[in-house]
Amino acid sequence: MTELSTPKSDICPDGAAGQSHFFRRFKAQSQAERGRSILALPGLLFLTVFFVVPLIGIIVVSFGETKDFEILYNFNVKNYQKVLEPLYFDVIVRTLKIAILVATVSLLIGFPVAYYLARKVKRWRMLLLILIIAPLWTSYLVRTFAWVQILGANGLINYILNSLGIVDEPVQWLLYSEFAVIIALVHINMPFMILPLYAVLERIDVRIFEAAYDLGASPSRVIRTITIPLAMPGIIIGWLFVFIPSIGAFVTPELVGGTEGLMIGSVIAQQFGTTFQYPFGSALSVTLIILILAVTGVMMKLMSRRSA
Amino acid sequence: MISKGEMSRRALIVWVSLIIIFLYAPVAVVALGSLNKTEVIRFPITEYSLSWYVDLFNNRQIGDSVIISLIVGTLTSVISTIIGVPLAVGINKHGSKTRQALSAICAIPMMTPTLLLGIALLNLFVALSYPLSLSVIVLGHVVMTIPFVVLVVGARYVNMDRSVEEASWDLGAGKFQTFVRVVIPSLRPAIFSAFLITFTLSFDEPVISFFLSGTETTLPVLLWSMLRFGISPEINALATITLIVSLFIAIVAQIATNKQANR
Amino acid sequence: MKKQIRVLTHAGVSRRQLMKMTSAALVGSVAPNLMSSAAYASDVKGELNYMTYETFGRDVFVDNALEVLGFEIKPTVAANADEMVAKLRAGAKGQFDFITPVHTHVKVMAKLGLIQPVDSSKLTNFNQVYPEFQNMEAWNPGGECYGMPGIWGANAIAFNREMTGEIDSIDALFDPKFKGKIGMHNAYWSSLIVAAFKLGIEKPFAMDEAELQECKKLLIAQKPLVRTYWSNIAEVRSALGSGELALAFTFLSVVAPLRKAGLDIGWVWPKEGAVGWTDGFSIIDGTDKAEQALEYLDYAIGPDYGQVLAEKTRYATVSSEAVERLDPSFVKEIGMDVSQLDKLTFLDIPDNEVRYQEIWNEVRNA
Repeated sequence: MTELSTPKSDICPDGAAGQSHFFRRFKAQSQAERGRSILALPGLLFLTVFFVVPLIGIIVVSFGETKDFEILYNFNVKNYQKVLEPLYFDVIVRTLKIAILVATVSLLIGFPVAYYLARKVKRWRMLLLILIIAPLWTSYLVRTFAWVQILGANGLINYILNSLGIVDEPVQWLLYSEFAVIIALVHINMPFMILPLYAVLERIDVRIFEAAYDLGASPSRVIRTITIPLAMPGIIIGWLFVFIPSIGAFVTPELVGGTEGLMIGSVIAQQFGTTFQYPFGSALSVTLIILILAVTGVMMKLMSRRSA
Repeated sequence: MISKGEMSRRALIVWVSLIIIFLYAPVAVVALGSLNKTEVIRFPITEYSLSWYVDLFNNRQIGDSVIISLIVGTLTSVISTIIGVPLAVGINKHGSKTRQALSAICAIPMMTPTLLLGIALLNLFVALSYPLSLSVIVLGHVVMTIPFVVLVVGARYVNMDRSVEEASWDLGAGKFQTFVRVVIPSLRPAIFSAFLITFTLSFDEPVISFFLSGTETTLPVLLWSMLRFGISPEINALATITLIVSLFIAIVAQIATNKQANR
Repeated sequence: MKKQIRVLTHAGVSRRQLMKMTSAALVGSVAPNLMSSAAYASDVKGELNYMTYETFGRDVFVDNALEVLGFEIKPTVAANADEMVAKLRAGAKGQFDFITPVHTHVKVMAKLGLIQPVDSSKLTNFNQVYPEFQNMEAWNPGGECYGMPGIWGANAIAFNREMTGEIDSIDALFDPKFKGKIGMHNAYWSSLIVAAFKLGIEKPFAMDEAELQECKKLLIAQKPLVRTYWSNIAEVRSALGSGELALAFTFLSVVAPLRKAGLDIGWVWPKEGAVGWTDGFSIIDGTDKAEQALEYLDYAIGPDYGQVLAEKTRYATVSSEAVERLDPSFVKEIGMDVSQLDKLTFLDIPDNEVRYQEIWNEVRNA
């Protein structure tokens, strides 16, 4: 797979002097090819020590059992069986549903913004980029509380609707509902959709568009057949950047969800209190990771099929 | 009669403005609340006061935690980017099977609940007898944020025109030189996005920070612990100041970019 | 022969710049570690590392300790007792000297060897603590003293008198009249207990499966009436303040700020029962600062600390002398009435806690 041996000539960046062009190119190419693994190596090493090892620990614990505040490593699948029980299965399905919804809505809303930033703005780009991420520098706790003020029965939106005479009674479902959970989660994760999309869209060479227009393609055709396929990696990544945090979210849903919207993140968090259900909590998390990987796999398949 | 192109351009601007309003609405409400005389906010606000700002200024606990969060956030984004960018490029040079497998492994930290990451890492450091401190928090945050760097940079690198890289090798540049002088500059928007995202994630992360902290407290940890007894209104003042500071940073950054472009 | 490459790119980062950045980052990540390993070891005399809630770590208490006792308190704040236990248990025990647990977790921490016994005969302020708090079972698991309570409170019903009128019974939380305006606490140790009160169950914290199922049925039936399951104080205070909720089962601390904002908020311990809790002080097992920690504990249950506590945080102190120093109307406002303590059902961790949690999840999921 990856080559770990690195011949000394790799370290020396010099192109060899006095050799024929062909030989130099061949050497450079194999230098670069052998050099593939070097670039990734420090990072992979870092992750192995500081993530893979703890992850293995988590997986091992998930096959254990809690007894008397201790974890017994007696290797059983009871926890995973428990995950499939109706209560938890239900919660996981609901969580998936909400997360997919949030990510897709974010994509639809955010794509135009990323497009605008990448293609239409040159001068004020830096300003806009920072403006877009800056709201996230105020704690999401504070911002979620603010959503309560905005969506509440006596909050801003109802105040406006009332003043304009659109409603006589305050609209109740704006807050403490799944609707509120989705709005809040979209709000919190939106910049993580816009930034990656922007980073990829910015790359697309302007000349491709010019050529397309020259050939008589309409703007919508161009967007459909050129922009979106080329942007596909960014679309996938942006979608995942919203989907994944949304799956694990629980603080925001608890704050604005009212009696609805119990998500799996809450359940996982509960397992690490005085009940010491670390094994079950770990099993839930591992299940979650597998689910996310599955969804990611599906997305990647889509990407490789549709990208240019 | 405006052209179709002009119309769609205007529509786009309207849309972007709406999204910006959407992003800032809660922050605006918070800013308004920070000027409210009493702790409890009721619309419409009748009595205004700057007392919370005064309280904030005198609050050492909050002040210290902000500084710590800034340090942690900056270190995290720098280190995460330095590790993540080569990692992203290195991974994406491989054939598709290897690339997907490695990308998946690099992405798993972001799929793991931070509670588990925090506890598992704490266990690791205790097992290594390594004392907890700010640098340990930074390590934890780097683990948490590397997936973001790898994925964003990777997505852009995948689209990059490799012939430029090859041309550079042709001309005799070594692999490392090519990487630094050719690849990185063309990845700049992605690296910049990754840097911003990483800083933001670290700056607002309460769980890993709690478990890996020595005796220092970051801002989000402090905020979370305030939930038990009630968040003091000074926090609204803090949020407003953060807003003003970030606007300031945005403007300064823009001016700096313009200056560089005009050179 | 090295050729410089001029390619169509923006200004790139030169290798030298990269090297500079890397070394700076490395130094930067090592330096804080160096700084704090001196600090956290707490080997400076008179320094106490303190795991607590944000409230007790506020500047006023830190300054107070320095001024009066000469101790430098270094608070590490936690969001809740579960997190505290998780962190200590995962190995961070050696880092702390002193902790403020909620009483329910004392027996757990004692069992896990996270805290050490306290010799209460050495506490000079012991006798001026209200007798009800002197020998609480929760703080003396297995008959041995593992700490002392410092503040206490009752969780009961707060209501907006304008919207609801007078209330004296737990039935109000189940009254269809208040549909869509009721707030319940998102915690099994609150809401299941409320159900238990309504059903007249004798030992809410020792319910068996049948009783739990009864509670579950009741709570699911109540769901359409409930506006939200609130998760933290700031939220429920804000909701009551904005009129989103007319009444809620909640903590006393929401009342004072709401009244200050001009709302007519009533507070009542329903005749069926109310939930009591105490936060207090314990000494971490294995600390080399046990003596100083004991000194601080002694001070913290005393009148000076108690007075500052009550005035700054509006919570009820266990120190009778502190209460005597306070303005009677203030005492009334805060609700520090020890005469009714026997009416309180104090929090406890049930043996079948896992079931309690699961039942509550089932209610939320319904």
